[in-house]
Amino acid sequence: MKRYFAMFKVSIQDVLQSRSVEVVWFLLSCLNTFSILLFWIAAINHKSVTGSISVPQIQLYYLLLLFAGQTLMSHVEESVSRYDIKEGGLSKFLLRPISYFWFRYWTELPWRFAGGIMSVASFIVFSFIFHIGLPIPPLATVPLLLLLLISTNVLAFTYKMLLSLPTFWITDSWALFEVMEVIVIIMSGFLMPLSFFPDIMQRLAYSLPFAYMVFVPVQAMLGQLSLIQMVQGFGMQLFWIAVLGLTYRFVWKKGISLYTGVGM
Amino acid sequence: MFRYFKLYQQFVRINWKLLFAYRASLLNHVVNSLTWSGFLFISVLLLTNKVSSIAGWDRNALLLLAGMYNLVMGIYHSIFAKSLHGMAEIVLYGKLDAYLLKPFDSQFHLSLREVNIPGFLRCVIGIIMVAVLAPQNHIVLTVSTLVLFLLTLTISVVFLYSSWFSTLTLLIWFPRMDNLIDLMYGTSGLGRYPKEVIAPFHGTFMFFLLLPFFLVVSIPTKVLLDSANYLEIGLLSLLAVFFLFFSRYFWKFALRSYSGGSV
Repeated sequence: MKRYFAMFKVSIQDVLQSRSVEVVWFLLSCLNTFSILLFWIAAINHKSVTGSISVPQIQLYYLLLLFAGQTLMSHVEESVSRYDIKEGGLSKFLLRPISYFWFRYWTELPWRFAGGIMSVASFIVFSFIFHIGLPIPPLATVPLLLLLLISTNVLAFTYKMLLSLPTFWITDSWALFEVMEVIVIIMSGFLMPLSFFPDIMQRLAYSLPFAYMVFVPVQAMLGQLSLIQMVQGFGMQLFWIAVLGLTYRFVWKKGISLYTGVGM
Repeated sequence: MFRYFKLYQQFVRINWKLLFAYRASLLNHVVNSLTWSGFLFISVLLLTNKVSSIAGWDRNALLLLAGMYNLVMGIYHSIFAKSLHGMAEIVLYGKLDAYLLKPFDSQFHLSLREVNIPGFLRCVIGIIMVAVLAPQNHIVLTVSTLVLFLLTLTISVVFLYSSWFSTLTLLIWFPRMDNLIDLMYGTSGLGRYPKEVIAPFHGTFMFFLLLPFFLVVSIPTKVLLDSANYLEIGLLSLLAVFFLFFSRYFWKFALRSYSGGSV
């Protein structure tokens, strides 16, 4: 644990050194989130939305979505796939007495913290401008909410690590990432709340892990989940962490036997 | 001029050969084009499941806008985006020296050396979407509409190129900011939405900054729908011309600060 913490501290230095890069990522995230938010605000203002939804509700949803996208979602697949597997950077990790999975997890965390700080700051600014109040969850649900948020991060990270592994076989997997990104955007609630989906799409979304990476935690932060629903959501997250984690181990073992270090 | 035309022909020829040399890459590009075109279509269907219309844009018009987005971005990505994508690496690793020493214009070389031939698939998908949706949107294509449509399409692509190149010129000073290109992809993505969605920001700095990116797709679409606003066409044309000259000047200015990494 101590050595992972040391890596975590080194990664903090890396984040601090790359402040401008992190700011650009944050701006991009804002742009994507707010463009959809603007669509919904225009629709609500033109009274063309079926069902009852108000502008403050949708603003709050997308602001929390920005927080979830920046803090809970992992973006590790590009580094693992391109720099480590494709270009041979993995070799040095195989020689170290550490788990590659947990190394990546702990060095990714400071980036999430930086994103979290910026999204909380923007949340405060926007809530001040647009008079949006954050619903305060009941005290009894706070520990469960925190657990839910931590397991969201672990689930998203495990999924992204698993997503990088086909690179062992196909070398260039950016098209796969693009396909999966589109699926995540739709099925996790980034495009619109899953409750707005037709019934069949909602059922499909809840049968996949993506809803538990974004939509369920956002709903929990909004205070729209009962204690039982939060427990169910947490249970589903643990289930998907187990499924994806075991699949990761299996695929990693198969993939590593095919790996060829490049440039050595 | 003729020399540059011949040079571009050579770029196309090289890219055509590369296309078939790396067939997996070709497959990746085809999958990518199909994915994002499909995403646009599905996202409009999902969004309009709850929203009947936005400021006069109903489901059919929004689908037409999505088709037009595919066409505009297909053209832009095929001709320019792939070349600009590699700019960060070229500047960071000092490879720009090689471009500056060639006996032709560095901006031309950097902007047009890579042609994304499979990207034209997205244009084809866009044209098919527009053709299929034309009757539902009561589009009557006359010669004057077609001329104005092609003109606005060209203006949009010129604006996209010049704004991207101007922004990416910042890499000369900040070479590690390789994600500026992602920011430009995101900014150009605003064209998926009708410009009316930006109304809440009216009169603010944000409005003037983002408005042109909302116009690049909605203007050619409105020309087809016969509801073009000539003031908007004029504004986008002015911005396209301004940014085209600005990108040139800014690039020349930036090169004075380039120190070279491989010397």
